[in-house]
Amino acid sequence: MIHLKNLSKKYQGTTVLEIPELKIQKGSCFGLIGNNGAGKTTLFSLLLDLIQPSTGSVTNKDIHVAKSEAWKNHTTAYIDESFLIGYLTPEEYFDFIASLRQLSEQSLSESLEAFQVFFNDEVLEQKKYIRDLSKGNQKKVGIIASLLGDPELVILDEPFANLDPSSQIQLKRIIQEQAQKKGKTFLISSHDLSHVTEICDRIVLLEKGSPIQDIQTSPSTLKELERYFGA
Amino acid sequence: MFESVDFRSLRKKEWKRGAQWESKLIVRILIILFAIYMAICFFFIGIGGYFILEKKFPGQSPSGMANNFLFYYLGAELILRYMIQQLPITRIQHFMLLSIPKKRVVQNVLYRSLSSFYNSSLLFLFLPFAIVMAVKEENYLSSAAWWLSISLLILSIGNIVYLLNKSRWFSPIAAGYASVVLLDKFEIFSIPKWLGEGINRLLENPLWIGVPIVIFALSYRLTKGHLIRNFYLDAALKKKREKMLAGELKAFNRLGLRGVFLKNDIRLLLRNIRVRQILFGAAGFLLYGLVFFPQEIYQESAMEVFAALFTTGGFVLMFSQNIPAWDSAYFKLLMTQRIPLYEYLYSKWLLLVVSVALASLLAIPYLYFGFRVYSLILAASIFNAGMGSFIGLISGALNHTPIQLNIKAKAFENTQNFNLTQFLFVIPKIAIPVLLYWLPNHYLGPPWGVVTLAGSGLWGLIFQKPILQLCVRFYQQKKYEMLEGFYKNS
Repeated sequence: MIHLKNLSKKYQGTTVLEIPELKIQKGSCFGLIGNNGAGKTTLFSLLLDLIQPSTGSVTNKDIHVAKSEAWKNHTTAYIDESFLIGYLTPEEYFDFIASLRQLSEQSLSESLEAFQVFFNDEVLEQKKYIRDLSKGNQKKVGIIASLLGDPELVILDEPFANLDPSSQIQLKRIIQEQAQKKGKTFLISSHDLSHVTEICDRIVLLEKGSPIQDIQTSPSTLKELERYFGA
Repeated sequence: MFESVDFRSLRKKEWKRGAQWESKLIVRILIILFAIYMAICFFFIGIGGYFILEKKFPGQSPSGMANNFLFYYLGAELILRYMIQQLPITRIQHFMLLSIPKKRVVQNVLYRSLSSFYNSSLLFLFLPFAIVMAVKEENYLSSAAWWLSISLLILSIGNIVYLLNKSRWFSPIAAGYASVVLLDKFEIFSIPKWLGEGINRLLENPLWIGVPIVIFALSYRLTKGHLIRNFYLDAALKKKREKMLAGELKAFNRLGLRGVFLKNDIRLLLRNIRVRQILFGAAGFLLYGLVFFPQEIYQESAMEVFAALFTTGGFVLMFSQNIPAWDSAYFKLLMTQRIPLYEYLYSKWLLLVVSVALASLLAIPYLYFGFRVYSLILAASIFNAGMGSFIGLISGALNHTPIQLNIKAKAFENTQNFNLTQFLFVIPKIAIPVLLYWLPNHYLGPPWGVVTLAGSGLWGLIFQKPILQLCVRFYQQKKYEMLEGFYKNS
């Protein structure tokens, strides 16, 4: 589904990302891990055409992301708060996203209904602007918005950070369900090794901008990763 | 240890490391030049003021007359400063957990506000006046006391504005001020005279200077105490929970995607302090014509076009230069969604055009100054809608400084959202329409100025689509630069 070729990003001579080649298959849950500065967010920004690569290219379903915008039809993301519109209420925000993805009012409310438990009565019908919600609830709004309209590819940066334990567990369930039943492809970065090994079937470990391990998840993966990060 | 915290150097770094700071430096220089110009103007008003009063009110003491005006001056200053001067809250926030005594942080805020732009009048306006007064009346000691007491009163106002910030007292005070002005106007009861008398007394016996000193000391103490007490995240720094404005707006749904964007823009306008300020500004610009149209010397002059442009174009000028920076807080979202840029820009453009249309309706009372004046306003409004709007969209695309939506803009203290390119765009925004009016009027005679001005705008309206498509291409080219500028600090 995604094909990175010869991709690199340099800032004033320092290389922050360098990936000779990486292919991500459709229907997989792909995990990206690495310490701060490993290049996870840079990679996501390149995938979303928010920054330009120094060399190489990104194709998303054979669409060159910098040359055509057609990939936006099947791709969504939640990277950080700059994906939220602070002065809207969550309902208005979902409404906005739904109209961009040509989702009817009916199917929007059905979709949101399915996430009631995840929202835990703290998001909808609060008469609050998103900027006044807690960090955790803001994140819930962003993540759920990225699932609206059944995109084929969902990119989430640190989805578990800031969520309370119950929400983290629910989110894992939501991602697994969406990946298995609806065939969505997820790209997830996280610092939480146990969550990533639990939900992702493939994990790539970035170090200083380069992929140094490409792992098919197995029961021993968590131990291996802990050894790597502990050393 | 905390003695080493240098607030000044922190401020310097904050400024120097922001987006597009090089051009801001140039703007800063221009602002300083402007400030010097203002200071010189003040200076001459200060010197000349005494003689003007002497001439206009013969037989009365000019200093006494000046004192009668003082109430108006101080009241207007209080209201104006309340509207634009804001507590530098975000600056306080960072120091909350550091081992710096609260007292010192608060003192720093108050000291800095002493040297603020708003207080410059006491040096440049009142000091020259006091000097002339001293020389003319040979009353050095009382003139010095007079200047000192006025300075203290102005400085007290600076403190009181902080006290009023977010309190419920402002509206009653403003209402009180208005009623005092009315009472005075209809000569029922004159508090301004009463205050003037009080200050006249000062001139007689400089010992009375004790009163303003006490007022200043009191206001300083109260403000300091107030700020220290509210030195908590949930006190002064926390926003009041707002009422929901612009709820459903269902009517816009019929417009398709344009309606969706318009809906958001209306909410943007109503729900964010920084943007709401523009609405007030635009309302103020509507009155701008009153400065020029009643005066005969401006008739058929370039100044009239200037006034007409601002009367209906205030919103266009202020809003368009920050498109798309208004959306900077969530620009990444917009850039990763399926957003047809044409529809996005069309909705912004429509908003500008609607604002002009609304302003030209509200400007109908200008008919009082004759059809000639109103036709000029209409011609200028057509220019604003058909040309000004597009020039604005282009200038906005070059503005890559992010905007914090829920923080007030501060005049002269804060150069955020103010940059060189925007400054240079004043030429096409103002000079071109002025020339379009003035040249034909000068060489062909009066109706032609209005005709060319309106005609140029009409072309823009007719060829709206291809021009907007050019804008779209320009925005596409600038995408990465915009993203880089908007998120430079995050």
